[in-house]
Amino acid sequence: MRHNLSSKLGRYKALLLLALVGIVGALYVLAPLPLAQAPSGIVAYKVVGSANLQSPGTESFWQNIPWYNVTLVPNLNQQMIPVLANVPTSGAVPYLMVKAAWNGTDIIILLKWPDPYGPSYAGPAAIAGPGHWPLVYNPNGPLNMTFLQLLTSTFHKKYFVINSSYAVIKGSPRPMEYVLAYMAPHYGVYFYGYYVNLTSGHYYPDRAAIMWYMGSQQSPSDCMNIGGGHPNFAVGGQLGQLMQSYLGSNVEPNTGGSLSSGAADIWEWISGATDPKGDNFNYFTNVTWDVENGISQAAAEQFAAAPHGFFINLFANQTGLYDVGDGGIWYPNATGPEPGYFSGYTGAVYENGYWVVEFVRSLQATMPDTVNLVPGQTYDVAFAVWAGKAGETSWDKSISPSFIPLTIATTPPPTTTTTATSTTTSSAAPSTTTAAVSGVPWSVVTAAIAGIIIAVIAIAIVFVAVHRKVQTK
Amino acid sequence: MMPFLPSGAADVAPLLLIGTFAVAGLAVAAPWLIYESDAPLRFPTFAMTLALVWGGVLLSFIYPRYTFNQIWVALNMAYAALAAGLAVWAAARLGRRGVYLWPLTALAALSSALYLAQVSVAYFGVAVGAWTIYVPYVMLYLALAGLAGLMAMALAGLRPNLRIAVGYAASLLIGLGMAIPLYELTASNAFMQHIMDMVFAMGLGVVTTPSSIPLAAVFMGLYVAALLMLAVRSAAEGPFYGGAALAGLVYATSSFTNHSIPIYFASVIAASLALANLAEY
Repeated sequence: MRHNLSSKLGRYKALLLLALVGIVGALYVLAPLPLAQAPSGIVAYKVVGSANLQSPGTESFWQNIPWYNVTLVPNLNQQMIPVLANVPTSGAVPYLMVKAAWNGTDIIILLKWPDPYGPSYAGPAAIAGPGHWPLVYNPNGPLNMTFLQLLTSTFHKKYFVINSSYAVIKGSPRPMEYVLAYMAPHYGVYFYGYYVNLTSGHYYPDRAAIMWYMGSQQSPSDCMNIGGGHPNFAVGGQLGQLMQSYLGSNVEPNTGGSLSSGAADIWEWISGATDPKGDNFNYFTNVTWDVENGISQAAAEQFAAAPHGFFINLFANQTGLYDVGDGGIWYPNATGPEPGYFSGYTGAVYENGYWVVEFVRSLQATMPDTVNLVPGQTYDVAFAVWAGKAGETSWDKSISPSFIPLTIATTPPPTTTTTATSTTTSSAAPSTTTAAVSGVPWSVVTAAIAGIIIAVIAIAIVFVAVHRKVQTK
Repeated sequence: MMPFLPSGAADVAPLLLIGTFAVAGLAVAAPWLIYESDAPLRFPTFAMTLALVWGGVLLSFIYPRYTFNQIWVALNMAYAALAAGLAVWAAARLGRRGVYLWPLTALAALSSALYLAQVSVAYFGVAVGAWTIYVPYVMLYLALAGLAGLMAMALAGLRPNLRIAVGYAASLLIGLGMAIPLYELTASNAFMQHIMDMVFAMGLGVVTTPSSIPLAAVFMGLYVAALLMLAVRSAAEGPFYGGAALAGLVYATSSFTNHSIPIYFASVIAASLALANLAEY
């Protein structure tokens, strides 16, 4: 240090620093001032052309846009009980690759992730698909059947026993999950994972979700709270009394899935329900069913006349998770019927062990409580995927560890030397070629930056050498 | 800060305000520390830090699309490289005493390299990102090795007396106090392992498998214990250990983030320069 704290000048400097820190800190707390942003994350480039949802990912404009790798939290499921020899061992989706582009009116996001378990088109439990069946066990000995009986009877769920240590509960209401998490282990009932039986067809849909943060925090944090479907759910009966004595209260404070601050719009594609190949897609093309479930009649009729893959919108804030535009098929409804319910398009294909899913939506929000995208802005996004045949469903999924910035850039994608030629030969029409980037060639900039790195390390080494010489003298 | 038991969002709100205050204060303190340090490249580093951290604030009012400007991108990449270089330099300058910090220095350098690769891929279309999917595991192992280094630094060549013994015992107790509730919650409970896995990932940016969350809880407690032990040793034997602990903390915590604001690099640089200055102590 140039001045140490014992000198007068040093002390004045330290006090001045503390004062400045306090003032600036208070200023940022009271006023929504921006912090400097470093370029990072995903870039959605401006392209010419539109999405081909029948063959997602084959559009020519993707060729110049590189994949962005998102590492997902490895959500290694516990090994399921091998009821039959061909039940696969559970695994995780370790990473997801993302490309993003926009063409003036729509934003197009391409996701690709490995799914070695094979595609699932099973419907979601909320519609007509196999129910979420928790597998419970006791690693320390026999399962406490008395408590299991109490738990399941309080929530009106049946169960079946596999052996003295394992049982399957035929249903997973959110309030029961709360008890399983915070109380049941004490009484000898532990949650193991979700039950999968490929032979009997009891597995879950594949899903992918993109969460767009709509709040004002600089780097928001997710808070995956678990708990009852409604806040302050009170558990009754003998179980409630046990909760009272063990946890101090029989009232569950949290709702399932909420954010620490701000709000978010989640785009969710569900293979079994929102994809034309899904087992339950026909529910959405049935206008009567749609209207019964709170979807706008106009939207339902238009969709039934021209069905397409779509994604649903969910809305999350501090109080919980909500459906947007329907009567609450998965979660309580936030808005009621909206004509834009089917306005998010998807195209999905499973090939060579990978899911390729393309999301397309107009930049402008078509429903309330959904994100409005403006070119030039940066948004925080997060991703989640579920491998249904591996038993991933509900809260059990693979997610990106934090929000990733996604910038909607007003420039076209960079042209790299290997792909420059392919874009010009794709079509005779001039509208499909991408404009070359003018100005300093990217390769020069890259070389310059590499040079800076080498220079800095060289300086460091030289300094060490010089310093050692000085010291040994 | 960790919600070991279900906590309402209202409890987290004041912590967010503290976080905002801290980041803004850091934006003032880091350039100051860089200027005050006795390091080579002091002036260029200080100028660059000011330009990026405060210039960026100014630009967001007068030129809102500055983040996609080629010059801004190149400057940030150079700054990231500088952060890695100065961390390595600081460890080299400490010589043999810096051995204990090498894993965390490597972690900081790797984190910068990861940032450079991601920006190269996204902004320049250069396909250098294939190795990035393996990096989280390497970073995790480096963080664990860093823990071993910090513990070794706290214990190597120690001349124990009563005060140090009491301080070390208190540090271990505090560390255990943080680890045990989380361990108890997740040790035999797969459900909570998955929940805390997500919390760890989102709160700390650390990616692990749910089955190793109990172990992660133990390591988090040991990290806290190691940092407190180094603080105790610093109080007894001089500022080097405390400075090394702070530098280690800055490296470990800033390496797992998304680097979406230049302050992450500024804090690494400030910590590295402060560490280098402690070489004489």
